[in-house]
Amino acid sequence: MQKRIYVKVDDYKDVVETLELAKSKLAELSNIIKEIEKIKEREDNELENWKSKIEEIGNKLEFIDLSLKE
Amino acid sequence: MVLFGRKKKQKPKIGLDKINEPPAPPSFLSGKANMELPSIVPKREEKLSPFKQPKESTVEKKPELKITTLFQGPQSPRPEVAKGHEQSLEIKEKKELELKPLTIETTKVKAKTTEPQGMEIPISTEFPRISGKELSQALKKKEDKSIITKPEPTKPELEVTPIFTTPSPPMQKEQRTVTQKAKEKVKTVMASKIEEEPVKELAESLAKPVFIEAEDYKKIVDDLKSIKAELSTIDELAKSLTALKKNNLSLLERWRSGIVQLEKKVMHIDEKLFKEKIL
Repeated sequence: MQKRIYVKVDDYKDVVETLELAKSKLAELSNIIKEIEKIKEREDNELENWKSKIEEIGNKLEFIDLSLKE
Repeated sequence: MVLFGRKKKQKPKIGLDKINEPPAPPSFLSGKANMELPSIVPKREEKLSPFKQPKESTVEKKPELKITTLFQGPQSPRPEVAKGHEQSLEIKEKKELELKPLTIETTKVKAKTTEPQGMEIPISTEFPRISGKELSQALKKKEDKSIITKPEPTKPELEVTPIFTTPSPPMQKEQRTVTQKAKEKVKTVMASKIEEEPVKELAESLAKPVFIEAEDYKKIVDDLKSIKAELSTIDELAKSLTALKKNNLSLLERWRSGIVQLEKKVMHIDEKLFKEKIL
């Protein structure tokens, strides 16, 4: 039979209160990360748009170059 | 004038005739008997009480005390009284001895005697005279009325939750409302107490020392360490993210300036080509 050993916690009330605060902070952080992810998705979409536009511009410039050189 | 002056003034005869003087007490004994007296002489109260019998034992043992006992009690010779007043004295003695309670008849007699003779009390016509029987009846009626009309002492109402349903007496609306209000108040108080109880228990539990198992304590310590490490890594990641964001911003600026330069060049080409064609 193993004897159970107990450890006395002096400021139990203080520990419980800080734990509650840490929990609420963690929830806040998770919310901020979610918002950053949303912004990131928008940026990626914009970058794709920019990429396609630049490609279009490059194609047109090549056509102009070909037509002038001929 | 002379005749009037020589006449002796006669005292008016009022009340009793002159009473003979009582016999003079015998002279005190001289010598030892006279000296012993104060210790044996009864107290003043005993002396004053005329109806008290002297103690036989003391009298028999010491015949010298006869001197003192002569003045005590009924044995002492009574002073002579006039013939007409002997009866009154006897009546007085009887009254003192018997001490009978005064009856109505005696009072009536006294009332009659107190009234001065020859004077008549004017009978008022406003107050009618009532006979004794009528008065007694009226008094009886009054007593009966007083018994009926006496208010019984009101007991304070104690609200007790009825266990057995008994037919309650008819109550007035106001009383009912008062009792209902009281019950509601009691309910609200009870509810507040019930709400306060867990808070009190928690406070009491917090006031007491809290113990955690050693294994659980170790786990908690390890978890706290890992959380600290993760938090530090998260902090580093956040720093790298901010650095990346800075790079992104600079690249975005470069990209914007590149677009502007490109736009200028395109415009230049456009100007050159269209001006030449127009010209």
